Amino acid sequence: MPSQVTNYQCPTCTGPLHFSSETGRLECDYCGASFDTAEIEKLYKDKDAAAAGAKEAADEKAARAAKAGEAWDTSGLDSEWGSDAAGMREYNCPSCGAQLICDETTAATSCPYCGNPTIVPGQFGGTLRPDFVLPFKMDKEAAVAALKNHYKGKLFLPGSFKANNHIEEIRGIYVPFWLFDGSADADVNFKASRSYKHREGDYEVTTTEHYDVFRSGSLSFERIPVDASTKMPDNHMDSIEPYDYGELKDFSTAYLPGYMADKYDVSAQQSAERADLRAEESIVGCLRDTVLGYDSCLESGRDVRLHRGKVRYALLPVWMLNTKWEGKDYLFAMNGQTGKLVGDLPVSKAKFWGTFGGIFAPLAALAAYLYFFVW
Amino acid sequence: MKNKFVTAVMVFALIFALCVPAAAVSAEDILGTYEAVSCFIDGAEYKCEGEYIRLDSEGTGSYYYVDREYPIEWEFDGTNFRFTDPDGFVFNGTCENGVIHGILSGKDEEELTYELSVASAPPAETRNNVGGGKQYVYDDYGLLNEDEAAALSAAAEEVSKKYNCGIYMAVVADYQDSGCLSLYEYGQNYYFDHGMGMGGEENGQLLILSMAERDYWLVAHGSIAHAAFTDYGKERLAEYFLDDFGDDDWYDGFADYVEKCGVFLEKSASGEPVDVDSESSGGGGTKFEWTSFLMIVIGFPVLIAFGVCFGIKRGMRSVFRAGEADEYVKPGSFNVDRSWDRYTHTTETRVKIENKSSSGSGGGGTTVNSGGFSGSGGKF
Repeated sequence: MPSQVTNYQCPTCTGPLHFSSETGRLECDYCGASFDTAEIEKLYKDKDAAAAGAKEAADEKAARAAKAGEAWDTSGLDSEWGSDAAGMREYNCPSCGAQLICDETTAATSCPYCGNPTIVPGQFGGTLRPDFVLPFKMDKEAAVAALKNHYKGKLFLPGSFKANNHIEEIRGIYVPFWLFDGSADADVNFKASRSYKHREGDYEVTTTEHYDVFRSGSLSFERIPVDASTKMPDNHMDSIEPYDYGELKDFSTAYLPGYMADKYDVSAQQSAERADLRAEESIVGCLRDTVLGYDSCLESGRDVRLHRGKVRYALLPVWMLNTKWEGKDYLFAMNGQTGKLVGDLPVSKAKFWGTFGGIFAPLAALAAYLYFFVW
Repeated sequence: MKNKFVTAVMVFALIFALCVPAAAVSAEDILGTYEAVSCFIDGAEYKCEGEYIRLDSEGTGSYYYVDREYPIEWEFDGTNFRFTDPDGFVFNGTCENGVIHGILSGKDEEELTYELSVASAPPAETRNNVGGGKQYVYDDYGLLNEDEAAALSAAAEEVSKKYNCGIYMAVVADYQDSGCLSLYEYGQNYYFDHGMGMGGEENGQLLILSMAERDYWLVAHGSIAHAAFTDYGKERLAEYFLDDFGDDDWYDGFADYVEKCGVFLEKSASGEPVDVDSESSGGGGTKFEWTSFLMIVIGFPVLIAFGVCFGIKRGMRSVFRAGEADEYVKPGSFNVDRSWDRYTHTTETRVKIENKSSSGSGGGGTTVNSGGFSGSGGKF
């Protein structure tokens, strides 16, 4: 029985850890794992050190870029909430450290990330006011239906997962995103070739013509999204893209009732690296698509110049669905606007090998028949 | 009256004079062996040593050319003589006073003159070649000692005569000295140049080794050889001697070759030549191909089953990191400012196309080239 609340998360399942006075160890109520206190403290110390290092590197890079006039423009970001601040509430989760905001009419009962029921009200403030908000279009029922649909046709899904799977929590969250505008110029070199075959006597002769190919071009981007919350898995957020920005609204607290909103805890500078990378790959990919008429084309060099523009802050709607199966957490995320749901599913070993055997056995029998009686 | 008697005697004498010569030279009268004494092609004279016509009995006989015997069918009407052989050669001429003269039509037209030989049969050297090559082992490289060569020759002769299909062995230093592009081509020339083969179809199989490249080739000719030594059969046959040759155990390798040729010829004679079908149905009795069996019966099904299962398993994942931002490109904003494609160079690769006879095909039978040969070879 837990006797003391701590702020540590289980390294195995991210559930809250409790110190047990009976065992003298930190125990997870969700997956049952137990850890030595010193072990967890060291783990957190290392994580903090790594996070601090990453932040320092990002800040340094941003500073260099700013000095060179190549930094993202965050000048439009506004921390002034005005009269809206009066109607906002802030909560902190002592378990996972999440900082959540909502309007005063929303009943904040538990942490949408870790499920901890003891979130603590705090003093609202110290956060940027979002530029945009994309209102929820999908409701909770749609999320449940999407999850059921997600299970369909999954041959290897364990039967017990589907049968015993009770969604533990379905939470609608406005997830903070940085939206990056900008453009890119690039010079890209490729090595390309095309081949012809013909026959000369007993030989097949392959003649390959080699070319150096160069492409230079430019491309503009609008609102490349990078999620600004460490609580939200980046890959899940990438996978539920895209959002239809045509429905973006200027931020208003009127869209918040009934939903929690996460406060960003990754700065625009820290997120910029991901936006840069995605922009760079896109300009190179577009130029690569113009190299036509060859059998092979390999990039041999690139010079990409990013013209970083405005950074906006937006809250985008996400439905989070959590479940546990055999002691392991499974997280599903649904785009609250389009209804696109993602989440990795467990694989039944029995079904995997059963299917393997079901394919292999008749094929082997057929091959044996052909081997002995036909060929 | 006396005048009538004289007239009658003269008439009978005239009739006798006219009739007796024709009646005197019949087909039986010209039996014997005729040796070529002159040969002209397009007016130019050529040597004609070793060419004979032997007329054994009315209508049948043999024609000898370069130590080989060809059965012929011949006709004689008292003056005109004609023979044909199974290869389509036709001789038209006359036979008078022990001399056969005429034109042999085949690849070329040869004007030949044969004279009745004092002896009634071809020379002993030629007679020994009747029914096949006079030699079975041609060791130009000196791999075998005299006893070994004699033993192999005796064994090969026994098999050859039993199945009317010559079994030959040859070792050369370097076939490339001949200018031939392949040992297969060289082996075909070697086969003919050394008068190999038995019977009208020159049935036989030559195992030739070229020591410089350590290449071997099995070269077969004639329907008996093609039936017994199929493409697949040649590969199986090679397995019996390649291990010995790999150890430089030449005599045992050749001995195995001769012995297994006898086995293959026996199987062919009994209607079950060593071929793909006989192997797959277990009728061949030679090595079972575990590698291909495992590959086909186990390997491919395993690969397909794993491919399908991993494809389904991949479908269980839907969370991936985004690598690009294509969804957020401003419509119409992409421009290509400069571009060029510059040719730099050309490379060429050549891959030899393995034909059925040298690589072993999935189907059975024997691949025979336009020269009437089939072959299979490789390294030893």
